[in-house]
Amino acid sequence: MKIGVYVCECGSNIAATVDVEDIVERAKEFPNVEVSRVYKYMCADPGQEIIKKDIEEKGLDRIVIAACSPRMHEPTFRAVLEDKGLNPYVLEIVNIREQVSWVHENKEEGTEKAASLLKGAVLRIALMEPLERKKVGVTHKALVIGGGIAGIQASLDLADMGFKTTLVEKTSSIGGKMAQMDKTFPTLDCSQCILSPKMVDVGRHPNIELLSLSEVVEVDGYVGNFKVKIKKNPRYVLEEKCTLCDDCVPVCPVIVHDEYNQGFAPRKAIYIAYPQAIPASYVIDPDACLGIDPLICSKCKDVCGPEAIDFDMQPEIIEEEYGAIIIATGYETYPIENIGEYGYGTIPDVISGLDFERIISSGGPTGGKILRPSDATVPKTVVFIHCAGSRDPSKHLPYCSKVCCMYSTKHALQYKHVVHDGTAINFYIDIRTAGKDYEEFYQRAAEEDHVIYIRGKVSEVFQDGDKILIKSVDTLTGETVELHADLVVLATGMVPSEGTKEMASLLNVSVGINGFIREAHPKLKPVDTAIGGVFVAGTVTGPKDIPETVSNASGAASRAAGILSQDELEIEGTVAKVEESLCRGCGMCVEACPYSAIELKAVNKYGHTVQVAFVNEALCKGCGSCAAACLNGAINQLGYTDGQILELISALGEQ
Amino acid sequence: MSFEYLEFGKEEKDFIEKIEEISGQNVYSCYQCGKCSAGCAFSSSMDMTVNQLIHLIQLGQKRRVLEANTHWVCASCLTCTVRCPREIDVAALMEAVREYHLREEPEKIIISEIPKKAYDKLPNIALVSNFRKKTG
Amino acid sequence: MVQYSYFPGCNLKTNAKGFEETAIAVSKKLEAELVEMPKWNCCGTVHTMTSDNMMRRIAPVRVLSRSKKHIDTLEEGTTKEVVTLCSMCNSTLKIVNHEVKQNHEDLEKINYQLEEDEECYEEDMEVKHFLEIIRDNIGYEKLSQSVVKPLEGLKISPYYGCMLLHPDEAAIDDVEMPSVLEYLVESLGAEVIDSPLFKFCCGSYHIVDEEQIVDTQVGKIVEAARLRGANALVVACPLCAFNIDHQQKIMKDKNHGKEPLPVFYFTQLMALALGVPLKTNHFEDHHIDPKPLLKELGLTGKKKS
Ligand SMILES: Cc1cc2nc3c(=O)[nH]c(=O)nc-3n(C[C@H](O)[C@H](O)[C@H](O)COP(=O)(O)OP(=O)(O)OC[C@H]3O[C@@H](n4cnc5c(N)ncnc54)[C@H](O)[C@@H]3O)c2cc1C
Ligand code: SF4
Ligand code: SF4
Ligand code: SF4
Ligand code: SF4
Repeated sequence: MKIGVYVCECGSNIAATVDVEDIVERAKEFPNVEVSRVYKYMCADPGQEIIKKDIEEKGLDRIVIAACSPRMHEPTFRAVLEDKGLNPYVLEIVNIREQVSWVHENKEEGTEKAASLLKGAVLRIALMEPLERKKVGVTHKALVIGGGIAGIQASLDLADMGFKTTLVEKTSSIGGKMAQMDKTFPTLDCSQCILSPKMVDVGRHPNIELLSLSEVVEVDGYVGNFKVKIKKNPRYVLEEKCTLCDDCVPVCPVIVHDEYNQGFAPRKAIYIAYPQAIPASYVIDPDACLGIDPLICSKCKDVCGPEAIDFDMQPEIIEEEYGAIIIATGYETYPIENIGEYGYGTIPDVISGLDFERIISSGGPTGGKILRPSDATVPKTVVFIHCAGSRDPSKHLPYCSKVCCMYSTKHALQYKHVVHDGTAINFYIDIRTAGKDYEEFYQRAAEEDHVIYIRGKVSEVFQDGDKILIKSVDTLTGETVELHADLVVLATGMVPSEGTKEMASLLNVSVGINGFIREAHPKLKPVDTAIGGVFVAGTVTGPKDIPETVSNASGAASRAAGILSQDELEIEGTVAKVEESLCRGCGMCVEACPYSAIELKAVNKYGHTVQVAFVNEALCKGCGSCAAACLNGAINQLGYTDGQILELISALGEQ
Repeated sequence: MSFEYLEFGKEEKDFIEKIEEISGQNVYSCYQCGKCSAGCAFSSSMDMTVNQLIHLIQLGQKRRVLEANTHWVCASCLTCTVRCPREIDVAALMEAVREYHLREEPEKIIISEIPKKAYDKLPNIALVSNFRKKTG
Repeated sequence: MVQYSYFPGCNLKTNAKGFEETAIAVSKKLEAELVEMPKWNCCGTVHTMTSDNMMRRIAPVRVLSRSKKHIDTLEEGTTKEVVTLCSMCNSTLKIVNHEVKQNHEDLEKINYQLEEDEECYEEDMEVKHFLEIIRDNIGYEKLSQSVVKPLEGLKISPYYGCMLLHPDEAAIDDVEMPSVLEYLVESLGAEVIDSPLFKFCCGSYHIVDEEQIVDTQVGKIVEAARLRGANALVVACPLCAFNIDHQQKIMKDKNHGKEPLPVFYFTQLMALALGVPLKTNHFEDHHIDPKPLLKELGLTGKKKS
């Protein structure tokens, strides 16, 4: 065995705190070391050349490099080894920068520490076996969960790139929250007008399979090879037969609250969410329908000319394989009834931002007239309370929901456009308008539409006759203020949707303390998750406006395409390996694995059927948790075997 | 700490409109950054800062606005005007409040009470400008 | 020699005689003569900031119209500029000129009122402060070449006050970082002492009925200059000059304050450096006599030998 040792000065980054010459000299005395050298920048081309030349001329078969963190240049140096025909795993990088020179001031101590780390590496690498990188195939098909604007955008992008894509939506139509909106800031273009063309595209794209009323119930497998079970609930109306004639609706005897209109309008048990809904078909709400039983009621079926209604439809389980998954299950608004002092749910004229969207919408329950819920009169004074739930770590949400300053401004402005002589007052803590053309939008609302802004958070509101008394403060004058309003709109914060929480746990992706899915890196990998092949789009990772949601979704689609476009994926060689003869089948490793990469399988051992741990190498991230957990020492982490680790420790213990 | 009941009726709106008319400024443009007050050389002598006065104009609080000394302490130096990020001629708003007052009660100072000695001593531009700012 | 139509404004004939006489004297030396326009009237001193008061705009427009007629009579008048010395006049005339050029309806109303004076303003005038003429038409080079007695030893803190720089439409220089007075002082051989309070309002017309406001301002302005090593201030406005000059004196008498700093008009400094007879300065009108300082530095009369 011939080991080559290379020490990097990293300019003065390392050399200032570690006596590099000294450790290079000492390394020459370590077992099996054939050559030991120092260079200013090992990662630079000339540095790499030195190693290549030594491998060639001296026949080195193990390389140890003392430099910066392997996170930086491990791929660089592995390529050097491969270039000269060595297995990339017979390389050991000792981090004497982040772990030594940057954290030590005393050069002597630094040098000692570097020397012992280096020795450990030399001893360890001697026991290193060449490892193999396995290859797995890829299913060239994507799954997008959630059909809001994020899921729509991601599906369209993937489909346009040529990948078959399944879009799974829980409700009867795609569109998400954006479909409920009247106009969108900062341009005030009509939400449906910009959304519905995209929805139509989804409906007829040859590469998109749209599954509405569906939910993902099981996910197995790993990057490139997910096995997914989707439950498709019955619509009871045949999509392809329904002509949207609306004949069924008048005859249906059941009236319930229409969720699309936030409960401000009624709908029947057979209905269509809204005229532009996709799939473009009516649907029967099984909870409202008198029993999905033609013996009790079949009025709709009786009148349906094209015979589109089928009470016998059953839930279906669809099993399918996918190469990549995008979670786009969106957000919900904070349950503001939790904020007792704001009276939502008890005072009829206290409404939420989403409620306001429906009230102002021309397709909404009042046909676009602004009428308050209690008595259907036009409110003369409307108060908008910002941060309803948000920025309140003591009782509600600690974070800023990012869009509500803007949508409250939008609402106030829309109100003034309809009720010219009305008064719109925004009570705010800070005005947050960090988006393109957002500040200008806010300034226009004040300047042109005379929307009033008062800095101060409302403390409480209560019904006072037919008006609502607002108790607040004006921190700019330092006075407490009171006023009577006819309508109060709460700028409700955003929380992760139930679907987002469910999908996170189903797919094993981690969530932050606020329940939003955690990105692989908040800055540099905003649409990746820690699970390979699983991506996130839109508000599942935190509050976002539409532009940010859309670009996020396009990002997720392109990251997913990065996988779908491969025929094979390489898997790291440093995976866990079970020594079957030692395994007792206790399952402790199964518990320990954070990536669900281990399962127990029945095998025949000496004529008995016993449970043995089995590692799915495609899922294993090489974290070593299982190896540490196994009491029998039956699992070894390739590249970090017990023997290797012990050598390392012994070297460190010497000093 | 004082307390105010806010109303947004005709009286309030008329006041705002009148101030806007006299000054030619849009009072709603002000986003209360406070730069006007921060740069005003006379803030410390004002019982309400310049931006607070503007805020009260936005809320139509005529009585409170006219009671303040802010616009009388203002010396029309226009520092606020050249620095307002919202391009508001802040000094013109101060002038408008003075004018509003003077059009109702034309004498903030009584010229006849100014001692004869002052006339001899003071530059005429001091007297003329003072009378122009403080009498209607 | 170029001739300019010069609008004096009231104070140049009373408290600020030294300002006017030195200005006219140096203007001749620099071949850019200020010729007083006939039949001028007070511009109103402060510009009205109301949008609806036309009455207060009549006087300045009348000045512009008459100055135009005056230029037509000047033998060597080659410009359409009316030149002022007082910053307040400068600002008032400039803003009104700007306003009526923007708003023809207003100008029509004003011209209607001017009919009985047989005046009609045709938007064809530019208002210039003498400092602008010095900077843009005469040039600092010519100025420094004309210096016969460099003002060595004078450490001058330029005080612009408000109206040379405010509002934007009337500003003679960069609103926040002006340099015209600095270059002028340097050209005359004196040292410039920059003070952050170079445009901190002196209290202006409050001197009439709120003297204590002016005292506070003046105290701060002078102290800032003194702390930085100034031994005098230079101004361009008779009201700034009066407030800083007179109130320093009052404060010193009242509470035995620090030694006051004399206040010069910029034209007085020019006159001293260009060798204009000392009496044109009318230092007798100053409340803090600059002569002891000038004498100490050897800048009065004949050179110390
Ligand atoms: C009152 C209000 C006004 C707003 N106004 C604007 C504006 O003017 N401009 C702007 O830019 N932004 C605005 N926003 C923000 C905007 O709503 C969001 O940016 C956008 O809707 C986020 O889209 P999304 O696809 O991430 O989530 P969503 O719209 O919530 O979509 C999620 C989708 O996933 C589906 N789903 C959920 N769970 C599952 C599951 N388990 N399986 C399958 N499907 C599931 C849901 O049914 C839904 O269709 C506003 C927000 C509010 C609250
Ligand atoms: S079966 Fe009856 S209750 Fe059910 S949707 Fe049809 S009409 Fe309505
Ligand atoms: S965006 Fe505005 S209203 Fe919404 S939480 Fe943040 S600060 Fe509050
Ligand atoms: S500087 Fe302008 S915007 Fe800022 S508070 Fe003053 S007037 Fe308002
Ligand atoms: S113009 Fe008036 S309010 Fe504005 S900075 Fe000057 S003194 Fe203050």
